Amino acid sequence: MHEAAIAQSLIEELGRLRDEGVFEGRLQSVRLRVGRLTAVVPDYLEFMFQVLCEGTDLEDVRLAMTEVEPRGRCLTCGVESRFDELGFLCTACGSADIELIAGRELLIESLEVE
Amino acid sequence: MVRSKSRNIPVVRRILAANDRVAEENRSLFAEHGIAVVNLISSPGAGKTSLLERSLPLLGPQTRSAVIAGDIATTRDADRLAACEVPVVQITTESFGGSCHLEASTIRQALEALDLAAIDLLFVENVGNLVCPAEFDLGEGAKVALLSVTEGEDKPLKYPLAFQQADLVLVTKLDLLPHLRFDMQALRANLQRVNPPVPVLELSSQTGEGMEDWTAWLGALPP
Repeated sequence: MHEAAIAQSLIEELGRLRDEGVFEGRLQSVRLRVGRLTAVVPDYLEFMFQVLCEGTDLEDVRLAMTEVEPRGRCLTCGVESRFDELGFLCTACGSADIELIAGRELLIESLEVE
Repeated sequence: MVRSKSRNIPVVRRILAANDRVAEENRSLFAEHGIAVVNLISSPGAGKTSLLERSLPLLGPQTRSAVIAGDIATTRDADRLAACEVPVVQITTESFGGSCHLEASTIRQALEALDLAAIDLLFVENVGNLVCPAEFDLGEGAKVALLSVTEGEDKPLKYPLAFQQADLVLVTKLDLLPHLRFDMQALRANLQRVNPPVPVLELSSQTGEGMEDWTAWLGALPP
């Protein structure tokens, strides 16, 4: 259940964003980008976030998540491919020499503030 | 009814930014002291401690090694490794809420108990778990995923992230092969699917088979 540690990091990062003046006022929702190649189960993360925020000023904050499919650029032919299963081979030339360019995200994407 | 206006503020911030920051600090500290750091990741019982028990005597004294061993509870691993006469720091994550993985800050705390000037090669024996440790950068130079032959050849497909992140895969407990129905070619094909370029070494910590290739790989690590 490392989602608990990730939820805790998220809460601390939201505190930092407020301290840095990135936002002020009442936070309504937070949108995350979660790559499919992270070891994160979005439902668990949402649950742990709710549990950890109970009784704090983040209690009513909603968590929205955009899941990101893996994408990679072929280092042989330069074509970009989207992958929906393991075994990342270039869809154009079949090469396994792939540089992943999406799918490993674990990001705060945007905040909705009142 | 007056509805208060809400604003959308775009942010791009890593959720694990704090961990990543400490991991980078650890990495600079390792670079400053010329220490190569290997993060060992596997399921419980894949043979991480046995591997270290066999490897440490083969490495020293020309390579000054040290170990940070992570477990949820007990100091059993540190007790076993004490016989190897290298500095060992045991982290029990029980005091950190029984965490299933090590984080960069736990490593930094453990470093305080080590004389960094006297270390060339630091092993971090992560908590036995194939899911959680893969997500947390510790500042290591290389991740090594272990897989014992008793676990089955489909493990890389079931737990892709740990194997995808690995710089090396060690197939352990090779001495048990005669007793098992284990298809090494299938395992290698499965590893190829999740991480095509990853090198794979087969070894046995019991018989010592394959240990030269492993210690040679360690010897070639950049500090």
